[in-house]
Amino acid sequence: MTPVPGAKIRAADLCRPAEPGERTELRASQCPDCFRACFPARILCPACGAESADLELVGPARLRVLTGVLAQPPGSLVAAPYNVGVAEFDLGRSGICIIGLVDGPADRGDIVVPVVIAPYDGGLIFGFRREAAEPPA
Amino acid sequence: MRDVLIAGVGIHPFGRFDYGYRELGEFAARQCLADAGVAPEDLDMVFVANVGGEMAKGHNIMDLVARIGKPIINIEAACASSGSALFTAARLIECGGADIVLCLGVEKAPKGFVTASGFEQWQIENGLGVNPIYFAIQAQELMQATDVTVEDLADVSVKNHAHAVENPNAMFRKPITREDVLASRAVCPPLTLLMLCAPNEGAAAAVLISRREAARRGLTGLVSLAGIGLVSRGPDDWFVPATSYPIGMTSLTSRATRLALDEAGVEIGDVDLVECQDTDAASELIAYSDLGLCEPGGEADLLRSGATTAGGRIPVNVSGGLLSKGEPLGASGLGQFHELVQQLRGRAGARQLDDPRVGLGHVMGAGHNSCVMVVQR
Repeated sequence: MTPVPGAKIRAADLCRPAEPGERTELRASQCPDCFRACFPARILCPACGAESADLELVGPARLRVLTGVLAQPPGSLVAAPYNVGVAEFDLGRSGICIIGLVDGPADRGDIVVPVVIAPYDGGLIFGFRREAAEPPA
Repeated sequence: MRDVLIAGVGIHPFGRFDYGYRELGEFAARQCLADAGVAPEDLDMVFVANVGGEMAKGHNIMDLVARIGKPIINIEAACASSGSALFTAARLIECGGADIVLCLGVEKAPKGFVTASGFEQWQIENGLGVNPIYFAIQAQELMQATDVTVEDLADVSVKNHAHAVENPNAMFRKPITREDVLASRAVCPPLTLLMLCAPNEGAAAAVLISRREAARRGLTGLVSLAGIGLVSRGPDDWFVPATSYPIGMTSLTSRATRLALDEAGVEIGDVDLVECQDTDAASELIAYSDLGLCEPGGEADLLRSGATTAGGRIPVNVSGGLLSKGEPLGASGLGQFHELVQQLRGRAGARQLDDPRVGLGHVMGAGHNSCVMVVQR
């Protein structure tokens, strides 16, 4: 499959570049006035117009929704079936739910972290993966 | 809204046809004009709602009807295109800018997933650019927040397919069972194929007329467009193609409903029938609480009570809804409008309800838009 350069470039806008499988941070923004968060990051808050601050979402987050795509969507370079989830990040005064691919086995309610995944040949994007249990001491 | 009446309606059945959108639109426009008793040259303006057609689509359709030399304006607002056309026409008449306006919705959508819903290229390439994902997210959110079950989702589809048996304008007219729905192909869990509407082809139209022009023509007993609310995305609304959403979401539909009901001077309890956006089964249940038919959390109880079935307290989608009619995106809202007006006129044939006086239509479009229409006899 031919790599899609644009996908790599956009992935860097969405999260910190990393090798597939490694943890990453999602590049979001948060308004200092109304505390609303946006992903992808916005320079100005779309709600109140204030200048937003960068916000790096490292997780852990809660996998609020888990669904899947079982038929091949037009334009998708990811081969169906695959899983899609919504990860809920608690920001204290507010919160944000982010839609993304889910890497590996997961259940709704799992604690997940953002990772870089390669869902197709040449593609890099963020996804969510069940947080590994702490190794025994 | 005091001055906007409905002189006539028309519809081309929803389905699949071996001719183009121009012919679909021409059919509905001609039927509508005949129903209204209005000649094409009497029109002050034409609004044509469409999502996927070529440029100047309305002009191309009207060229088949008559070259009226009046403004023809094309409107696109995804699945809320028809509602947006009605909103614009109604406001124009209200402010005295026109007396007779034809609103025409038409679509010839390709089979399969709806594309070009506003997704970013990275979403499309990475498998996130397909609408049923977002419908499934809403469905799961609903099921977590309430006692709605997957069986309830199936029963919405069963209800609407049963309604469509008596609708000659619907694409799918065979009754189905809960087992059929649950056994149909999974698309995006919990949604199966029979819980999703099929994009298809069709057209629907309405002629709106000012009260003064109706009086001048001696037209009496017309159904009125009593209220219409159109809102677009606010800071905390859910939308397709969302990349993220806040934990505490607000509802466009609730705001549009409030606007429409206030303008009509009625309450939701006065409404006798509803045609709502059942793009998928969960969307209908979400609309129950957003429209105020029940409190949040009461969606499943309302469905299970039979209240939203034809003959119930507040029938929803007696036309069969989008789940049975299919969804020609640009025409869906005017398709609802056609059903509401025919019901209020007592001309709905075998699916006629018992003397309805107030009807409410509701569409939602990607982007996001919501339009709520209240018609009254």
